[in-house]
Amino acid sequence: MSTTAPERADPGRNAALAAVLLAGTVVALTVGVYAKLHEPARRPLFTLGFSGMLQMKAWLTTFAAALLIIQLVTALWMWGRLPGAGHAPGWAALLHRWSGSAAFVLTLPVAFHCIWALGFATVGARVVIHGLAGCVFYGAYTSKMLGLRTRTLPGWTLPVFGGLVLASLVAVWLTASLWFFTRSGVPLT
Amino acid sequence: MSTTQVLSRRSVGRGALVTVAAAAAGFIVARNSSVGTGRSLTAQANAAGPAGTGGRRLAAVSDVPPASGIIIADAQIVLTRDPSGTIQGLSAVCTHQGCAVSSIEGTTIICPCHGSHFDTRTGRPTHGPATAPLPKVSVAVRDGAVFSG
Repeated sequence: MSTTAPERADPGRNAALAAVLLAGTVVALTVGVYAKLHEPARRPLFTLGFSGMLQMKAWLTTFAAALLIIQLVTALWMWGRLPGAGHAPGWAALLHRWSGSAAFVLTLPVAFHCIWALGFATVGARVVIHGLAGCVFYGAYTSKMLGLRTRTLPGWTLPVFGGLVLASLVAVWLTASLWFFTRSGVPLT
Repeated sequence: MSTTQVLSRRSVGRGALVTVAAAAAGFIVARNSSVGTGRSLTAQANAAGPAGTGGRRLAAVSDVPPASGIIIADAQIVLTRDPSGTIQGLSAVCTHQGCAVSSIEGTTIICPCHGSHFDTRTGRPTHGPATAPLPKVSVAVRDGAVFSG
């Protein structure tokens, strides 16, 4: 990163960016196509102590979405965009990485049940947006993780991928968890 | 940020190897265990289905209204009357996403989660995202009471 290699017209850089974008797209499409084609199992594999599958999904997504606040603050800090906070200390990067890892792990049982037990449903705009946002989340996460480990990407790629990860998870939460918590007559936990 | 390992031929190869090994292990485990086999929503092993309630007294016959039904929540059974007026048991687990149905209005069984409606007489969906009927659950009537079958 500290070398003085020319910034423009680097074919290696374009190829790396294309590969990272392609990997993310393949993951997003694979998740979506499998969810659409697979006959839904219509039962949970486990509910982790919650009263039902939807309750488990709603809460795990909520915990993951709450960790997004830490993600956003530490990311802004590391990029020097947190007003008045100055340079980010070393632990900000560690906190970003591990709170992000925790959030990602929390999404896995949710996504498993979305894809395996329920499938890609198309009844209504909320459901379609939710499904698409879920696919975009895993695609964006793939690109973000690969982009983090690729030295030759343009500087804007990580914030854009990170922003897409954040935005898609917020969309997933709004169209499912928040909506679910507003239903009456449904056990909350 | 500086601690992040940069992709190299070696690290990509190692990652790919771990991924392939994990996928193969997962596939073998899933193939050889019953975990991945689909069960009906009312199967006992299903976390969203009713627990085994064999021979339990569910309600008095007179508790089941003529053109409607009652929900026995802890047994996850809806007791209704079929078109001929005979008492029948239906699963109280919505066939859409496994929520417990919460109320009955007239001949309509209502799921609170996504608003699916089912007919008390047949168990068939009449409205909402559910497309499969509530499965029948065997119940027995004796001495003026309804027992789970």
